[in-house]
Amino acid sequence: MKYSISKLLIIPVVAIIINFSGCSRQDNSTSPSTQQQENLLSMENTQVQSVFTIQERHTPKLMENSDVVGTATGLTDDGRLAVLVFVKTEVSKSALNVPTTLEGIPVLVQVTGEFKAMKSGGGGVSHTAKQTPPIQLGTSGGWRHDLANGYCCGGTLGSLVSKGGAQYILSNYHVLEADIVNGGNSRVATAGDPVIQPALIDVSCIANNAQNVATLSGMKSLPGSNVDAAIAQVISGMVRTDGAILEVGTLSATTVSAALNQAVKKSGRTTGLTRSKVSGLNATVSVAYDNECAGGAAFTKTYTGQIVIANSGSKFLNSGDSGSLMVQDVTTSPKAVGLLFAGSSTSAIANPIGQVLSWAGATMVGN
Amino acid sequence: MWKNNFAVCLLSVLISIGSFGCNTQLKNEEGEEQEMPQSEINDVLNRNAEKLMSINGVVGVYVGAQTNGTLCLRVMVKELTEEIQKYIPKILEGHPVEIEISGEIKPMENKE
Repeated sequence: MKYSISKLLIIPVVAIIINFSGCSRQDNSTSPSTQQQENLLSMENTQVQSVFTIQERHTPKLMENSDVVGTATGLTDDGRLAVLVFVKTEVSKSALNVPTTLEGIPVLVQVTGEFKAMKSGGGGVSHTAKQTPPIQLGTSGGWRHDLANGYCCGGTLGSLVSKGGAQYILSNYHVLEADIVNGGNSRVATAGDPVIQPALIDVSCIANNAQNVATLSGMKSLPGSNVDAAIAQVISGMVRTDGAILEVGTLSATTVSAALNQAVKKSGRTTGLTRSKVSGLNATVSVAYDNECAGGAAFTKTYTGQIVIANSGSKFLNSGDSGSLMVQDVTTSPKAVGLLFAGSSTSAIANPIGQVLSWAGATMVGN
Repeated sequence: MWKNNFAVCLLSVLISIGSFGCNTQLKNEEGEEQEMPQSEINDVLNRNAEKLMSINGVVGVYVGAQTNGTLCLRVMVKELTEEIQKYIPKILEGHPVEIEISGEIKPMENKE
């Protein structure tokens, strides 16, 4: 983004609603020159009003171009008032047929990219950053030693469950427990090993830049059972005891079965908070697993009775979201529906949460 | 004459079989969320899943719903091949069958 926000005066037209948190970058200096400029560019200034009028008059025509995402009244580098035209890409800028002036006012084309809606309360939430403990879930995480064959691996620490009076993070077998050969890192995932937040993939594969938040239980759901699940016991003080999930909040302690067309959401490491609908039930699917990070083939598991979720373009679930909990798409205390673990660019797959909890001998932490 | 009557009768039976699955709609009065599919189509799926999964390139099969609410069997495939087109029926025990070109279903971990 090349334009200086401090030079923007008015941004009345954009393609979609924008949360201009970037405005905090504004120069708050009270130097005389800045103060004079602010006075010059106030809404009361007649010159500004006249450019504003010109901008408004031409905006509908400019916005007919699908590459244009907004217009504004601003300043040229030498301080003259100008009409700014925001476009998606550099390529589209060169292809644009925008005049150099409009009614004598210079036109500046600026490549801003596409503006994205930033929902209040959810905008800017990082699912990959190292959190200050106690952490919320729906965040990046994995086995501390998940590094082999020139790669490091990771997924999502999805939710919190309770078992025998202790609290455990619920994620996938293949995120936490799937290193079953000495292979490229001379170790296998073992009970008591640390689980870190964020995952190695988000700290340049350097475990010391992450924090230990739980320890592996050593329970391996695969290849024997019908779920891809793992639980890791929380290290005291490292995870919120109410089980809060980023951008979802706290859950209901009860669960619900999936239903066709059911609206669902999830909070995951890669795609954050996303929503979709259940598109299929009772699925039989085959999924191939590696024996360690970037390792060789371990086994192919054929699951039955799985939940299918629409995942066009991997917008609902993508690589790194494994371990996310899928819940009802309701605002308050949603009920868990499934444990997301696999997918393609058309469909995502979740284990029914009832089967997961039965396997773990655990219950959801919630209200 | 007898042959004509038999043909009409057979056609009626086939139509009634074919339309049986198409009428097992899931939409509630609001056209929204559906309850679990009727056990009948699940039984069909369970009876045929192993055979469908044995076809080269098939990675999944499930009960879905068409846009009009009709329940169907959906077969997920890595890619559309002649073998898949040849061996996957358009209707199975009265239920429509759709092919979803899903590609491979992979665990959703990430590696860097």
